[in-house]
Amino acid sequence: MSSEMQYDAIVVGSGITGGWAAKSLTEKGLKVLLLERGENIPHRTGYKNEMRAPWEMPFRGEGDQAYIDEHYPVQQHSGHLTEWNQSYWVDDKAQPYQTPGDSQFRWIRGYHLGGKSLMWGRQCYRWSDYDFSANANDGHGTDWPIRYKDIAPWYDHVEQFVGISGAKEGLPQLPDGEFQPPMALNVVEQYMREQIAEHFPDRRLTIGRTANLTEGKLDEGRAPCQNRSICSRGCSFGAYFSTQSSTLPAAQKTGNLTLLTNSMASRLIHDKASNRISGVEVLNTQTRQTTTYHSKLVFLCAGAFNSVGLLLRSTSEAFPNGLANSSGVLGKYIMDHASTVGVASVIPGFNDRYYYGNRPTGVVIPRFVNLDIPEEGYTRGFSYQGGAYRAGWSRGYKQAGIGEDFANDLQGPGDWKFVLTSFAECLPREENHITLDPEKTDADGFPQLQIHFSFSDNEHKLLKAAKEEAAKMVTAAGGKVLFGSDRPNPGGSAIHEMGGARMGRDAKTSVLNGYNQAHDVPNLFVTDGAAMASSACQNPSLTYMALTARAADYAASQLAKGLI
Amino acid sequence: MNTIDNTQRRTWLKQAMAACGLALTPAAVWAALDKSSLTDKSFFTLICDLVIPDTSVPGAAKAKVPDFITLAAAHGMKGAKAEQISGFEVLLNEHTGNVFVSLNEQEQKTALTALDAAAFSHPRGVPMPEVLAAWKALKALIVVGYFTSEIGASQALRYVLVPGRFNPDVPLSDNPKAFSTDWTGVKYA
Repeated sequence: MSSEMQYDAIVVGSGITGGWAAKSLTEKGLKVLLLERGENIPHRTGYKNEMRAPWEMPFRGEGDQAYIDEHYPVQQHSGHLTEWNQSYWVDDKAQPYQTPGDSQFRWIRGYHLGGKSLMWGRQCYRWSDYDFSANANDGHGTDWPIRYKDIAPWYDHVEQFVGISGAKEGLPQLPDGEFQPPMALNVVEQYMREQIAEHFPDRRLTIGRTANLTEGKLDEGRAPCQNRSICSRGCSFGAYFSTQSSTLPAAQKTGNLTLLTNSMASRLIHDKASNRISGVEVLNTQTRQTTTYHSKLVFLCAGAFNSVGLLLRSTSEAFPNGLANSSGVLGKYIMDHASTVGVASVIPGFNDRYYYGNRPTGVVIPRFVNLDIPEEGYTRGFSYQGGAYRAGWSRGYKQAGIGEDFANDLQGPGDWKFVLTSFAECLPREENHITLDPEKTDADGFPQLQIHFSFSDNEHKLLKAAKEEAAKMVTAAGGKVLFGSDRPNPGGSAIHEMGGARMGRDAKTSVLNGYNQAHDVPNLFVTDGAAMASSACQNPSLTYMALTARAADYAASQLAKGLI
Repeated sequence: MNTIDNTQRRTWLKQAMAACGLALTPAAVWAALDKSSLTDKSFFTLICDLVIPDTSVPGAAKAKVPDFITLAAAHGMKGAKAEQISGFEVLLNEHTGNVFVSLNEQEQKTALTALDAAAFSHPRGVPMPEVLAAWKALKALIVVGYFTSEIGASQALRYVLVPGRFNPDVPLSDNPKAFSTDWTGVKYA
């Protein structure tokens, strides 16, 4: 083991939040070491399959199912793994975890430069005070230490840099932001918007707010979206926000960034005398050498569960139950949105209409229940994401027929489908928690995580209501319901895993304060999804980014004042 | 039109059976044949031609879907099992009570259409006979193999990797072909 130079800050993880921490801290003049456990995937040149046609892929873009079953038994259920992007997902065989008892959890991950920012769904939604005050109002979880006014300027800040296209709707439950021009609703989505507004005046269908540029940011090397909708292969146009396209070049431009890939933070070293993190032990996953790096600040951005895992295994005399865990809640109150297909339907009357181009976002119907009028039987709410499209050739899998008629039919577009996926808020509950497996280790020799998780009765009730309301909207518009579910997919399926090191007002019941700073250790910040004290029912990444930028600003100012 | 000459093959079979002094019954034909030849490409070429024949564009056989089927089945694509696909010809013959390759083209179409209809109308929750399950698996491989081939994706359909714009409302009459690059439409069909 060797000991290396001092940095102002070490950022663990290079995904959505790690990139933001690196950008924010380097732009404030701090010398930053950015650690990434996986390999380097350089912008553009690293996107090996980006331009390849299906017939140029060994398995036509579908992948080698036998290999996928062996190496990606969990990741393949993300719904996003293809042959084009297969190498971006973790090998479940090498990176296993445990789900004890009846727990079900699909832990979807990407261990490489950029993390999941390379394959994410790009949906960006502000949270509102309906969300930040939810815990205080109904008593589930502990109160958030912030409200909308605290984070609103940081939403502005990150939205402008990220580049988010969206339509302003003036909804208090889904506040408008600093948007680029919205992408267009297709003809059936526009029809559904009008029908829903007519039959359900309190409901709104709007275009997804997505981190895809509709106006280029050419000075940052980013072109407008080309409407390919193959984002997860990596985008050489830089049209969607990722670490590679956006935050990393910004951080590198300062000259203050050192990036180490294949470098896994294995342990944080706590100095009892100063009550500070004094070093980060880093395993080079190729040479197997461990090096200790030192810094004044440490930002954990390793992804919610990995940040928690790192804290849990960084035990010391002062923190025998996990670093910064005097509260005893580290690892507890983990969440993921309860999701399922709320409705799949056919919308008649538009079969002479089509579209050109592949818009890289769907639509959203923001929460409309339990806002100002309480619902009977459940708390919190749900929202939908989905869209309308014409069924493609793959309908041939389930369609009777052979011969010319069959072949000719599949050459044209099929019925207009309208699909809504329900996303229900997940209550923060102590029994949903992460621990370290006492015996089993991963390929690097570190304890595997045990993920204890189930959905509560409230999530089931929300999805039941979501299914019923989705069917009502489709039926009111003259659509034919094909299918709907109120059974949640296994936890993790929404890929919105969060919590485990929650923010809170009280050091006795939370890990982090209102600036994502550990109550127990002043130079430790956790700004990824681990910090979340509740889950809301909209996508969390924008909030992670805003919290990270806000925390970095705070940390740098505290450091400058000599308070850290 | 079939790519291989079924009439020729049927005639050859009849002659072969006669030479052996056997009546042309399925069991007899089956017993007399070299089994390995039944899972070769020519059978799949025949089936591909029946499922997706040449239309205004080349069909599945010309798109080399038979080659793809072998690879795809060996790797379990679309839930197919290699032995299920390689054994389909036997199952088909048993099911129809004929030697499929010895039928004329119209008879083959009729037999396969009936099998297909049985497979796609099979009631949910009722165990599916092996021949129907194998047929659905094979048909899925033909469909995916064809529409992801260069011919299928870029001639039968429109392949536009970089549209450059999104037009939300276009009359279909302008060009009735679907886009193979409408990834959403393909993924959630």
